[in-house]
Amino acid sequence: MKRTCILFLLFLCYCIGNLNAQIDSLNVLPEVVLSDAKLRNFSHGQVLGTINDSLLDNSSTSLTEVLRYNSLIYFRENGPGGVSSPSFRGTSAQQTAVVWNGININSQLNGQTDFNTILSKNYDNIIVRRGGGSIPYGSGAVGGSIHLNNEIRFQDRFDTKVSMGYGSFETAITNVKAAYGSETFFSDVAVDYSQSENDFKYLETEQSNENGQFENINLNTNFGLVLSPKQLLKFYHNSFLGDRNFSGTLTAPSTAGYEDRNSRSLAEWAVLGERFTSKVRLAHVFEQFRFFTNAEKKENYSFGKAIRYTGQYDFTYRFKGNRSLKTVMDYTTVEGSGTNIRPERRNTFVGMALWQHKVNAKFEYNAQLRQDVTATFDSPLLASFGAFYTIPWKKDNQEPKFYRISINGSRNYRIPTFNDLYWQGAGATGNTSLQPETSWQGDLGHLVQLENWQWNLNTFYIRTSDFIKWQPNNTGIWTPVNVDEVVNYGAEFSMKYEQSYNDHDFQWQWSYGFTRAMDVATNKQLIYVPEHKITTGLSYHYKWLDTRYQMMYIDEVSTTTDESRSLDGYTIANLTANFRILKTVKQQMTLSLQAKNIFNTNYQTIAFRPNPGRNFLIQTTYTF
Amino acid sequence: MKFNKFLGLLALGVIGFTSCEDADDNMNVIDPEEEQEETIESPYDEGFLVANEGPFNNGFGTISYVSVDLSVVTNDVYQTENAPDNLGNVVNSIGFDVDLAYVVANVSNRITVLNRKTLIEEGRVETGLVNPRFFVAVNGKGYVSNWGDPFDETDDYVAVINLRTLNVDNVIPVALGPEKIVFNGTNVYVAHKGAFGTNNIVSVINPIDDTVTTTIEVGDVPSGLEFDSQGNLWVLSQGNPSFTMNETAGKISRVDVLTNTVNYSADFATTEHPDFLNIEEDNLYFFLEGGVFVGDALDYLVPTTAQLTVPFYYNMNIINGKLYGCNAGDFASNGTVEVYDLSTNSLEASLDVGIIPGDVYLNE
Repeated sequence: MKRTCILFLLFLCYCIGNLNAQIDSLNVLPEVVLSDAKLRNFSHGQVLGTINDSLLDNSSTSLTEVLRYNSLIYFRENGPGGVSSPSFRGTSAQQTAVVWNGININSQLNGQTDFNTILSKNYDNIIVRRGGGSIPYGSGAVGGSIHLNNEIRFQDRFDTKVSMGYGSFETAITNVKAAYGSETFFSDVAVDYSQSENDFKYLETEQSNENGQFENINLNTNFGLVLSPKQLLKFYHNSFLGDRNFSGTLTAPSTAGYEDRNSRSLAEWAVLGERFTSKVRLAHVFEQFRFFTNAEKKENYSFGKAIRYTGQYDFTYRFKGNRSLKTVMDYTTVEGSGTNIRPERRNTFVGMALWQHKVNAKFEYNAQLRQDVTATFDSPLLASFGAFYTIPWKKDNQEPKFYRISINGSRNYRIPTFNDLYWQGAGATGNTSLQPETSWQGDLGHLVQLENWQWNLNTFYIRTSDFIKWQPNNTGIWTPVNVDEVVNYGAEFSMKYEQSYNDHDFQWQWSYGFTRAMDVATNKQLIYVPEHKITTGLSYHYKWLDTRYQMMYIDEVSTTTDESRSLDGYTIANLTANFRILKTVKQQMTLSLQAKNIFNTNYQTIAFRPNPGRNFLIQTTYTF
Repeated sequence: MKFNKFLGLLALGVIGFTSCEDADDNMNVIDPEEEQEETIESPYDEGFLVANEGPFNNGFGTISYVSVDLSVVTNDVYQTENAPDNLGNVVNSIGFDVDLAYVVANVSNRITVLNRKTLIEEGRVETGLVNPRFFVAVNGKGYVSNWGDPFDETDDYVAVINLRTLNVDNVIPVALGPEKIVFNGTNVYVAHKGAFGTNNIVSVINPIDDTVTTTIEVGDVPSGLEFDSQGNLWVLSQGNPSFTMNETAGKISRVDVLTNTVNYSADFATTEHPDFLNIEEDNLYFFLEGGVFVGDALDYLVPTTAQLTVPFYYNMNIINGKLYGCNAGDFASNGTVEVYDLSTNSLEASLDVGIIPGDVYLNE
């Protein structure tokens, strides 16, 4: 009876590459190039996977699509374009942090990022960091974090890239990216637009995806200025405007619509000394949504918004003997309000210290501490330790060969959101006495690097206490409580093989994830967490031709907490071919053809929500 | 109604007797042909139907059949009889009219008409409903409360269905949040619980000309409507919950159906929000924070001590002196219906049903 409104609420509450090599080859003054230097310098013992721009260029545009085939993250996507939330190592969507140029941008309202509101093409690289990272990246970096990075490089360039594509279901995508750089100045602008009728037919039924159309615009612009040889000024900005309709399911029609208005701005002033780096950062993050039960009647809606300001001082001192200490002080103030959110302000002061020591060429370790102070709840003291040890062998040729073992242990958290704390209305109420979810975790990793081969094996264990769960209280009002205890454990194996023969380059990548995520009280797997996921990719490159075959297997997932109902496992495969049709010194043009779900698999990632069958996308990219 | 109850008791007694006999004599051979013939005719006659809402958006609601002696539970009986069809998303309630059951699927905006004995589908209402809630049959017409768009507080209505053609022939605009709907032989009464907001009235509809003749002010958030043996309409209002920032007390009101005015009312404490009104044999039951309270509807005083303490229920129904408590668990897995004998306050059975059981109906 009250069910509809409650689930509407919960819907709003929840109502989202394992190419490892890049990291080490990118050793040029990270402070200058990277927006987020600590990602490289303080992530020892963690697995980083980079998805670089060549891959981003050729994919269609949502982050869900990119990561689904290039990482072991499982996405609970409410149909293409719909709300898409990630499960990383079996954790919840709120336990996966999205970090934009070093700033955590998970929603203050619901604690997660909808991966279909992130358009991937405007970023220079996207890094998937597995395992806990709450100390550098804040709330939600429990299962792992996704890093969206823009690079500001002070070098001469002036180039423009225009890419346009058209695909099945009246999907149109356009991306324009222009960058200008000199030794003292950098500026780039990128606009990404995607639009789709998204009215695909549900396979094996007479129904089709109604009310699923969407339109997204994403704008990025970044500036850099060398003030003096020792002073840099950088500015990053991203705006996202999304107008989506939310399609129904096989049993529930929908007329709903949703508007996102998000913007993030970050300014950074860096002073680079011989032994120290000092950075002042100011950030403004704005998020707003409007939800329409009837997208045709835009005058009736509910909304939520949050405005956040962050001021941060970051001081790194490099001691002799490859030791460095980074200290960060951060003050954040967030103001949230909405139709069902009591207007409140939350001020948080954060102090953190990150110690790193490269003992010798083989052994490095780091230790980190973080404490948040806020009036709203008691934050735990977070601590982390990571180390790796490298055993090189036979450096008979240029290619290094080694075995590396890494360990990492950390305590992480996810804080209660504005919905959790201040929700009011529609049969539910927030709980201001909530405490953060905290987790302890350990990760053991092995990496074997040979001439053509790379093997990775990671095992992890995460124990989360005070898991926040919404449930009815004794008067039937839904309210969140710190109730559950959840244990996640599993293993991730990936391997990569590369071979070149004359102008022919092959690459084969294969990864497998085994994930258990158990509710300790019931000893049942959490819903929508597949025990097995496999991704594999085979690519072949020859001068003007680039082809790639991607395949993904997802195991059965249960859709009820008693494991009484489940979704079948499935295998999907995609095929991409890129042809370089023009190449001069200054110009290049490629034509990309993509066939997705080539076996026409009828599959669901969320129950009763079919996904498209075989579909196509054609794209051209012109660089000049 | 009384006659029906008598029949129900009789059926219960008889079945109870036969099952005892079966238990006593395991060698008792039942003629298989006779048994089969009976099940084909009306397998769901004499027993209970449980409406399970099912998961919101991603799935469908179901009906569970429970035998009169509670020994047999068969889940998703609609699909058993009508596969591969389903009842639609969020089965909110079932209304009955003689031999037919009208199953209201809230999110699917659909009513499925079933033969209540065989549960074989006889038709559907698929247009003219927007967020339908409850159904009541009145002389060949079906009255269905509809929220409309829950963000639009002015588009709520009662749909009037021609039960022969299953077309929505008429629409009666009403105030915000119509919910429970009952008929006393003269008027249709609609409790305005308030949908996503709150409301505090009962609309009175004259089914002859389908107009709202009057509205009766009751407590905030009226959730229960029941008649006593004298024909009085009792309205249980939950009161505004605390999250509205205007918390009000629950209230019980008695309406004189001749004048359609409140002639008795009693307030609860401000933080008390009773629910699940039931009247049987002039015993008036409600549920408050896990307690089941019983009073005499003909000489009413709000009881202050609970007769029985139970878990948090999503709903409760009192049928033939027994309490059927709908326990939805975590709302994301199969629920149970817990049956208490109110003469002894003992738990008689815990029945495994579908996802989010929301109502139990006697089928006879």
